[in-house]
Amino acid sequence: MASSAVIETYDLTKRYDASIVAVDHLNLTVRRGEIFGFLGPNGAGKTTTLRMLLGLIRPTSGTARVLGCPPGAPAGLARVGALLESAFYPYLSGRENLRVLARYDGVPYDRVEQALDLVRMRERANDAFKKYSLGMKQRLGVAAALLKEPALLILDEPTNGLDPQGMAEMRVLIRELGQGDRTVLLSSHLLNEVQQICDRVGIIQGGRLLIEAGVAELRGEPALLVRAAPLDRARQIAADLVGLDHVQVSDGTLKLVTQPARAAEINRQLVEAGLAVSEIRPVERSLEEVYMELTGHEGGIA
Amino acid sequence: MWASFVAGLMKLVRRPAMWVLVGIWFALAILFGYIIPYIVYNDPPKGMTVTERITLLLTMLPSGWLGNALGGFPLFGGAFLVIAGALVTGSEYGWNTVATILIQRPGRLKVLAGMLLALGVFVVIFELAVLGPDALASYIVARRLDAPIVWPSAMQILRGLGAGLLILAVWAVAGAFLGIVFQGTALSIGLGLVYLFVIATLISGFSGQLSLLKSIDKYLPRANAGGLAGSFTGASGSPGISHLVDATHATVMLFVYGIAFLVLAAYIFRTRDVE
Repeated sequence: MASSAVIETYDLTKRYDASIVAVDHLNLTVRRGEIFGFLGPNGAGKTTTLRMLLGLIRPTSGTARVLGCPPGAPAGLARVGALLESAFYPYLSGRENLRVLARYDGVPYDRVEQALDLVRMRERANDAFKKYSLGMKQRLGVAAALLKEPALLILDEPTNGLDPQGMAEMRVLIRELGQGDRTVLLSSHLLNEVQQICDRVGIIQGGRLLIEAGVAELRGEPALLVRAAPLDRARQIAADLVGLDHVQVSDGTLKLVTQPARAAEINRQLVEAGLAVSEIRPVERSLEEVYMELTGHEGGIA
Repeated sequence: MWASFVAGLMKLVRRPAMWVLVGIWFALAILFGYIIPYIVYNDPPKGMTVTERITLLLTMLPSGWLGNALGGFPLFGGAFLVIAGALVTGSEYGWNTVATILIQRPGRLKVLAGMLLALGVFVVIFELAVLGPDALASYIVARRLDAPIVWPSAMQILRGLGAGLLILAVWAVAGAFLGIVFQGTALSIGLGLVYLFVIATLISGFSGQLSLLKSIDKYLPRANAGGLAGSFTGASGSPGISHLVDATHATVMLFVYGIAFLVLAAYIFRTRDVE
């Protein structure tokens, strides 16, 4: 196991019978201190993978190491906080639920209050869990994941059920939690959210890992799209400015691989050369576009 | 282990369903063990013989306290404890909290041990909820009827406490085992009660006509629970009381069942995937 790797899987496979392979020879690495996004369509094998990493499901073959321990080993679990589906005891209050978990974890009750503060649940902490809204249940789940002050946080759809403000708050919280040495493995169906939060992503489909790379790397180099006439003359000038290799022509437009901040300068040069510039704008591939290209998937993902 | 036990106990102590079971169990024991017999004794129905009346009185007096209390353990106690056991483990699957607790620090076996030890505390509560009030009721009856107050010997009381705990514990573990096997409460409680009230009753009913069934019945849990309790109740007894096996045989068989349920429950809980 590489020293910076917090999670490593080697050919991790879960097969339910001859025809159903939930996870297929998955080789994944999550590095210390990063926020790693785990993406894939419904049924891709994300939840099965997370459950294998937590020792809830045994792999059919292959191995995994989580914080240097086999999945589910108490020594590893002691440093892992996880939110799977916010399952708690309905007759207990939020605070009592966290206290039960604190007992299991051997952490003091002070930590319960801190976790409640972090997710802003203090005011409703004495209400029975069954009375909570979906968003509150989700926040309590995050609080539970934080009880142990974990070195690794595994969050499965943490923004499920949250309103837009709650989602924004959760995004900020995850960013804060991912600072320093703490590692966050985030499974989310919100690609925009992942793009904003995550350092690297892994995209899984049909149980197989399609790609594991940095978000910036996946989105490619920044570029400018330029529509100007005459096109040949514009291409010549652009090539002088950014280099011939960085100019592509497509559908009557130019794509210049350069920083969007150079847009004003390029526009001025083209205009001063007597060209008619009708459009100039930055072009960046979103993570969603990359995802669609890789998976050929047009429906929702989860 | 201690942490898991305390966590398990916190869950049970605050669970209303457990106290509802204890309350109903207590109420039924007093109602059918003392209140109704007392009314019948004071206002005997036509045709009730003097011998029958005296026998009824003896069950209500302190000398008959242990037998009266333990008489309800094999069948009715069994039903309550199967339900309690199934609630303890089966609900964890029903609410999916099993995943929540298994991703905390303790290993699976410690989590299960904590749950079962907490259930064990409730087994003691169930026993005391009947034996204590029954003792008080028998004392009150004796005082009201100016009957002699003669308690069983200390050794008999200890034996009775142990037998009661063993019977209730085996049914509780059986319920917990079913809760794990069926990953929920409904089917586990249903099947537990079907065994107690239907299958065991049918086997017991037909065992007089078919020697093979009689031989099988000697090794089944309800007959052995009934046999152990029957060693305190004398010839007559409540439903579920059996005189098919002696106390020693029953004790051994109940231990075997208790251990078997524990081992199987632990094996399944430890090895099965939590989806």
